[in-house]
Amino acid sequence: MRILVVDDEPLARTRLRALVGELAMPGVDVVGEAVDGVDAILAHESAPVDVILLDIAMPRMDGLEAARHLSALESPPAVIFCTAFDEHALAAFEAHAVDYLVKPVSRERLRIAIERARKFTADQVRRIGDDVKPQSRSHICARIRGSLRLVPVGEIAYFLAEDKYVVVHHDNGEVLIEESLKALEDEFSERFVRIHRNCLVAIDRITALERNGEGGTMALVRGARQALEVSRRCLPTVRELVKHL
Amino acid sequence: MTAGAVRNATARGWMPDFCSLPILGSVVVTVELIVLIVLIAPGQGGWPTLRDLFASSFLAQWIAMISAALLCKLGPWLGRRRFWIGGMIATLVPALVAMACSAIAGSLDQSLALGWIPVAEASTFLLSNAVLAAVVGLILMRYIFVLQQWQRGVEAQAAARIETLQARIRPHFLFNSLNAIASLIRIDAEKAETAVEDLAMVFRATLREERADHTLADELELIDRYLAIESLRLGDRLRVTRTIEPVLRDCRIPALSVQPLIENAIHHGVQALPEGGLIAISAYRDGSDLCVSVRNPKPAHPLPRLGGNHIALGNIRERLRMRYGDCAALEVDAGGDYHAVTLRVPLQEGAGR
Repeated sequence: MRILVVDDEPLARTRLRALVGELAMPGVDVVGEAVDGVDAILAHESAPVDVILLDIAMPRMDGLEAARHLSALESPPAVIFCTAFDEHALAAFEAHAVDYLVKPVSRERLRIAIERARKFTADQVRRIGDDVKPQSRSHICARIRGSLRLVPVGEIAYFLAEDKYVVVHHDNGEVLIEESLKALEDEFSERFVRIHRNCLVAIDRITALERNGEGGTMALVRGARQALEVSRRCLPTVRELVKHL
Repeated sequence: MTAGAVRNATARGWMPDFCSLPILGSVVVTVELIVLIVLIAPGQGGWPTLRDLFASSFLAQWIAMISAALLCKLGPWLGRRRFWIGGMIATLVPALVAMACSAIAGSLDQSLALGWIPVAEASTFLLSNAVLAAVVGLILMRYIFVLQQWQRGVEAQAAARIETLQARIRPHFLFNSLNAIASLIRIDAEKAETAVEDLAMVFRATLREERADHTLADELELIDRYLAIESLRLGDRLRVTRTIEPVLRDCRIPALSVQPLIENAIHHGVQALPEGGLIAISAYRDGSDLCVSVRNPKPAHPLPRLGGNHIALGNIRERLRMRYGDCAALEVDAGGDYHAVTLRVPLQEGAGR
């Protein structure tokens, strides 16, 4: 069983690694460490593991969100949360979590958690994702030619729906994701606004609204190569938002 | 009375919850005691017979149960009325029930020709029962009301105490520190020992009941201990600079007025940044004020995290206001990628208080 230890504190990682070593369970090894949620997902992507010992409070991407992304992968690892004191968070995934541990973790408790993880099937692990729904994600997870990309939501200029896909236009290019524009709109309602049936734009990136020749309105969006059309229906809301910027 | 009965009562305002079993129980017992008192009281012509006791109890409990049932149903409605209007109606209920029940009892007595109630006293019987019921109802309601107030007071006090204790102990900090120390024991026992000493000092300071003034030097010492623990956890992600005018070290400052600012700087700033950041602490003189400023970087898009230490600022402000009135302040300057808080207190030098 391959284990990945994820915590932003070096001493916490060292301790978990040492404890797993002392357990001396046959075939159970710590094969890597990661310092936050993004790091953990990328580490699992490059060298898949069976179990992740995952801290919750971490910079960049917290453990809850990382667990959600991980559970959507093709071969999701079993996640065991380790947390100092997170009573609310604990309640959120109690139903389907493989296990959760409180720090400082005791050796025996860790053994029980790893034993439990052994018995979990991929299907059960995937269901954890349904329970773990943090307020809104900090990253969008996408695949480009088979490899995983995590795009920070702060770097996204706009989402454009095309056929079956949504194209995420961000500062370093564009990626395709299989999510509905409606779901994205609901999840990121504080940061993105609908300007057209097929387009969702980062509110703080709208620099100006302009009339085009044909009586329509276009939005100038920082980081977008061309102006984006604002539909008549969305115009009042967008105009109101721009006024307050 | 159980806590459940009390919690239920809050939905009914001041009105006791007559649907709850504990309150019904106390109604039954009280009514029975009153029946005994009335029967034994002098002027009733000697000791009551068993028949008198049964008959009176039967009637009284009927009145009590019907009144309680009515008050249970009327409770939410009465609770929304003004106190004295609701109270009057609530007192009238047992009185009217008593009259009705007494009338029924009287006619039963007559039709069965039992002769337990003398015909001549029929109207007195009705009236005295009504008055008795009203008085007993009033006393009972008053008693339950006072009990509820007291219970609510106790609960509120306990909740407030737990909240303060939580704010002082800061479970997140405590358990993370213990975790770091547990790890350190294997690697560097000496460092672990120092960390335990630091942790003890920080907690001794935070758990002290009275928070008197101490010198800026004392506060800085406490902050150093605190930072020592945090840098164990965060390693080189935590960087600190101190710019302190040496002459100010002996100035007086409320205990634990700066340390919580450092804690916030770590919680919302350094810890939330993957690469960490620099906390700049400076103490300088501004006119007749001593200023201590804490500045830290913060993520442009903070994660929507649970918890945090938002109470800290409000708590410090409150203490400053009590200690200095309007002469002290806590100024917050938050930019896009940094956060700076400045504590400003009147300059007071020397050891005197």
